[in-house]
Amino acid sequence: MPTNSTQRLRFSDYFFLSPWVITLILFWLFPIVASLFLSFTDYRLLAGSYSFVGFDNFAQLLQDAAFTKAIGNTFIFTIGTLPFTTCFAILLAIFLNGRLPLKTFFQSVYFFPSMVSLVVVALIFTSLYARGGYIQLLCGLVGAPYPQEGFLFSTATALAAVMAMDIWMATGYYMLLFLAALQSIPNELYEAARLDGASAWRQFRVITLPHLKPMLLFIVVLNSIKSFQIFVEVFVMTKGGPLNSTNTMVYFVYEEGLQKFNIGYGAAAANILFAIIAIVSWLELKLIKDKTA
Amino acid sequence: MTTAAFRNCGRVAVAIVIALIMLLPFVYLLLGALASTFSLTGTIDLGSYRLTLANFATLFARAELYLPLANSIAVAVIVTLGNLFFCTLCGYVLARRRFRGKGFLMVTVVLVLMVPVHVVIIPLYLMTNWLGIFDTYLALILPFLVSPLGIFLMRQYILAIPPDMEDSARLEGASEMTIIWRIVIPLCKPALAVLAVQTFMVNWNSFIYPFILTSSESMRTLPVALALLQGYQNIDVPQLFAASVISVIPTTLLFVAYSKRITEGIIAGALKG
Amino acid sequence: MGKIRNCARLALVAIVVFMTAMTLSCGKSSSGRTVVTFWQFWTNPEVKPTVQQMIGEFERTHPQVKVQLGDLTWADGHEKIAIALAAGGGPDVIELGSDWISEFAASGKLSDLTAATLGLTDSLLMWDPAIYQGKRYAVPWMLGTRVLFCNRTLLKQAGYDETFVPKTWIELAEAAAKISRLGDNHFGFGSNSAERHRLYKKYLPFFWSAGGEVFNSNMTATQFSSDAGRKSLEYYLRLSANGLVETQARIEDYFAAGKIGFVISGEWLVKKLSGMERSFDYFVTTMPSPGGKKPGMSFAGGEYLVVSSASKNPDMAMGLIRFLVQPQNDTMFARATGSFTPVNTLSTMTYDAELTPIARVFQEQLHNSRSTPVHPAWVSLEEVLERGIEQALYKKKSPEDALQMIDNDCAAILKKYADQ
Repeated sequence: MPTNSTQRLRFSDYFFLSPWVITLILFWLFPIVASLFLSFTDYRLLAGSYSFVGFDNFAQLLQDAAFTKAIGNTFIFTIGTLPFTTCFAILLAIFLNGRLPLKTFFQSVYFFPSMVSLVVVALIFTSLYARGGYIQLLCGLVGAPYPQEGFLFSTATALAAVMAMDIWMATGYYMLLFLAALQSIPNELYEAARLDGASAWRQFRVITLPHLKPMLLFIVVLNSIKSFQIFVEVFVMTKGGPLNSTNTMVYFVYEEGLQKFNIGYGAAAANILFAIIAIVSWLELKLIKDKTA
Repeated sequence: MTTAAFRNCGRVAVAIVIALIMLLPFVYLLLGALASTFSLTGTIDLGSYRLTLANFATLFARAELYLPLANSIAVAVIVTLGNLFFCTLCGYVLARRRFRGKGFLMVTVVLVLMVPVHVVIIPLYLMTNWLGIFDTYLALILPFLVSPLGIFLMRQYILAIPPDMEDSARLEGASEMTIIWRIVIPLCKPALAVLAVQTFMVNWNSFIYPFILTSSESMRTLPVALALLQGYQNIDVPQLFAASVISVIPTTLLFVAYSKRITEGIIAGALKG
Repeated sequence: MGKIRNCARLALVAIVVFMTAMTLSCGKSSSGRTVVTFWQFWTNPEVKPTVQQMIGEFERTHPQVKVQLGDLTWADGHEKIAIALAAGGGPDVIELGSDWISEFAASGKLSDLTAATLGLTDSLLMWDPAIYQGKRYAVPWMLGTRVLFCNRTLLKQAGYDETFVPKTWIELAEAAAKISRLGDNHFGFGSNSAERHRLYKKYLPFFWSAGGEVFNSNMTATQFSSDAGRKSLEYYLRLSANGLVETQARIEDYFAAGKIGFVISGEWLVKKLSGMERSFDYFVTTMPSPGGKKPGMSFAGGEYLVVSSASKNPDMAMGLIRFLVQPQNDTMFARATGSFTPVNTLSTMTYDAELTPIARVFQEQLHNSRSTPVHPAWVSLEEVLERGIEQALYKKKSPEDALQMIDNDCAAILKKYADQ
C-alpha cells in the first residue's frame, strides 16, 4: 500500500527536480533531437545552408566502406573484449573471495588501472607496444611472433593490441562488482552443500553461478554499452589506422562530424550507432528479465 | 597443516604475479618519468639508470600544465559536490513521489546513459555557444552537474530505505528540506560515497567533453592537455611520462587514502543497483 | 513558513554553486577598449613570448585596442576554428595553415582582403595559397620548407666518401638501401606512416619532381594515375622498403639518435639537433630530383593571417596583421621560430647576413617549393590521397590500382563539390 511517503508532488519538489530537468532539456534532450534532425539533412558546418535529404545519408553510409569497416571493428572490439574481461573479472573475484592474506591490498591493486585516466593508460601502452618496446621483448622471451614495425603499426595486430589494453584496464572494475555479488551469497548455502559432500565445482555451478547471474548480466550490459563507444584509445593510440584497422564507430563519427564537418552525415552515423546500442542493450535487458523472473 | 600452508603460499604467489601485471605498466611510467635517459624503443636501460627530476623540471618550466591541473581540480570538485546535492534531491523525489511524467523522467535517465557521446556532441557544442558559455568553466560544469547515473543510484538507494522515519518526521512538522538534510542524507552516506568517487573519477578523467567544449589553452583540463601534448613536435617521451605521472598523482592519493572506502562504496553501490 | 525557508536554503546552495562557477569563468573581461581576438598556434615557450612581445608593442602603439590571444594546437585547431566560424562568433584574426584558406574562403567565412593588401603584395612571399577565385583572403605570416637531412656518419659507414651528396633519385635510393643493410636497427629512410595531414606532404614533392600536376586544367579531376604519379609512388615505396615507417615525431627521434640515413624535415629538426649531444655528423641538402640537374621540388607549408568575415573590427584586425608582417617584427618572429625563410623580402635581406650554410639550403629549396593545391575540398581530397598511398604502403593494392582509386574517389568528391 502506498504510505504517506509515496505521494503526489509537493511544492518543494519542483525545486528539487528543476536542476535536473533544466540541464536535461538544454544539454541532453535538445542535442538528441537536434542530432536526429540533422541526420536527415546535408548540413555541412561551413556551408551555412542545408536541405533535407531524407534517408540519403543512411543509404550512403551503408555503402561507405570505411563505415562498414568501423561497424565491424566495433563489434570485434566488443565481442573480443567482453568475454575476456568478464571471465577474468569472475576468476579474480572468486580468487579474492577465498582465503588470502592482505586481501584488501590485492583488491585495491587489481582495481587501480581502472581508476587511472584512459589517456594516460593509452600513452603508456603506446610506448610499450612500440618497435623494440617491452611487449616485443616479452614476446621474444616466450617465443611468440610479433610484428617488427610495432603492434600499433601492423594491420594484423593494432586492434588486438588496443583490445588487450582494454581488457587489462577494465578487469579490476568488474572484479569489484562480482566480488560484491559473491559476498552477498549466504555462507550457509556453502556449508550445507559441503555437508552434502558437493564438490567445489558443483558448489560453483549450483550456488555461485546462479547467484552471480543478475550481476553478470548487469555487467554485460554495462560493458557492452561502454565498448560500443570506444574512442579515446583510438584517438590517442592509432587515429583509426593503419588502413582503418582500428577505426571504430565513434571515431568515424568524430572524423566525419568534427574533422570533415559533414555534420548531417556524421549525425546519421551517430544515430545508427545509437540504434545498435539500444537494440543490443534491449536484448540484454530482456535476457536479464527472463533469467531473473 | 603443511599442505594448507603450502596452498596458502601458492595463492599469495599467484596474487603477487597478478598484482605485478596490474602495476608494472605504472612502474614503467614512473621509472620513465624519472629517467635521465630513455631509449628510442621506449625501454629503460637499467645499467645506466639514474633517478632525476629533470623531466619534471623541464615540464614545469614549460608552464603548460599548471592551468590544466588547476582546471581539472576545480571542475571535478564542483561537479562532484553538485552531483552529491542535486542527485540526492532528484533521487528522493523519484523514489518517494508519484506524478505524471515520472516514467518519462526515468526513461530519460536510461536514455542519457545510453546515448553515445558523439550523438550529442555537435548540438551540445552549438548549445553552449548559443548560451554564451562555450570555452568557459560553465561549459565544463553545467552539463554534468546532475548526472543520470547519480540520480539512478540515489533513487535506488532511497527506495530501499523504509520511509517510516521520514513519515514520522513529517508528522512532527519537519519540512522536506529538513527531512532530506537530517534523515535521507545521513542514511545515504554509503551511496553518496560511491557517487562522489564515481563522479570525481569520471570527471577527472573525462576527455571528450572538455576537448570539444573548450578552445583556449587556458581552459584545458589535464587529460586534454596530455593528449594534445603528445602531438607536439618538441615534447619527448620522458616529459610526456612526467606529465602523465602528475595527472595520476591525485587519483593515486585519493585511492591510497580512501581505498577501503572506495572499493566498499562501489561494491555497495553495485548491490543496490 | 518552513517551506519558504527551505526553498530559500535551496536557492542559496544553488547560488553558491552557480557563483563559484561564474567567478571561475570570469577570466575574460575587458575595460572599454576595442577587443581584437587573435587565435594563433604558437604555444611553445620558445616562440610564445615573442608573439606576446609583438602584441604588447602593438597595444602600446594602439592604446585603444586590446588584443586577446587564443591558443590553438595543430591537433585540434582546424575544428576549433571551423566550429567558431560556423557559429558566427569567434576571433577577429586567425592564423591558418595554407591548406585551409580556400576551404574557409569558399564558405564565405573570411573577409576579402584584396584591397587591404594592395601595398603588401610585393614585399611578402608565397601569395598563391592566399588567393581563391582571384581574391586575396590571407596574408603570409610564416613560411617553412622541407629539405633532406642526411646522416654523414652512416653514409661513411656504408662506404661513401666525405663529399657525397645525393642529387638524383637513384643515388638517394641506393644510399638508403646500403645504410639499411648496415643492420643493428639502422634504417635508410624515414618514411611517414599514415599520419593524417602529413603523409601527403611527403609524397607530393616526389610527384611534383617527376613533373606531375595534381589537377587537370578545369579542376574536375586529379591526375595521380599518370606516369608521374606511378613513378613517384613506386619510388616512395622503394624508399619505404628500406625505411622506418613511423610517425614524423618518432622518425625525427630516430634520426636524432643516429639510426636513420635520410629524413625529410624542416627547420625544427635543425633546432632539435643543435640543442643536443650528437654522436654523428649530418648535413642538409635540397631534395633530389629524378635527373639531378636541378633540385627536386619540396613542400612548403605556410601560415597565414586572415580576418573573419564576422569580425566587428576588420580595420583594426587588418592593422594588427600589417603590424605583424613588418620587416622588423617578421625578422624577430623568424628568429624565434627558427625559420630560415622569413616571409618579408625586406627582412630576408637583413637576415641574409647571418645565413649559415644550412639556412642557405633552405632558402634555395624555398624557390623550388610548392604548397598545398588550392581547392576548398582539399581536406577530403587529401584524405583520399593518403588512404590510397597507405593501401600501397601496406601492399593491399598495387601502385597502379591505388592511384586509380585515388583519382576515381577524388573525381567523385570534385563532382559532388561542383554540384553544390
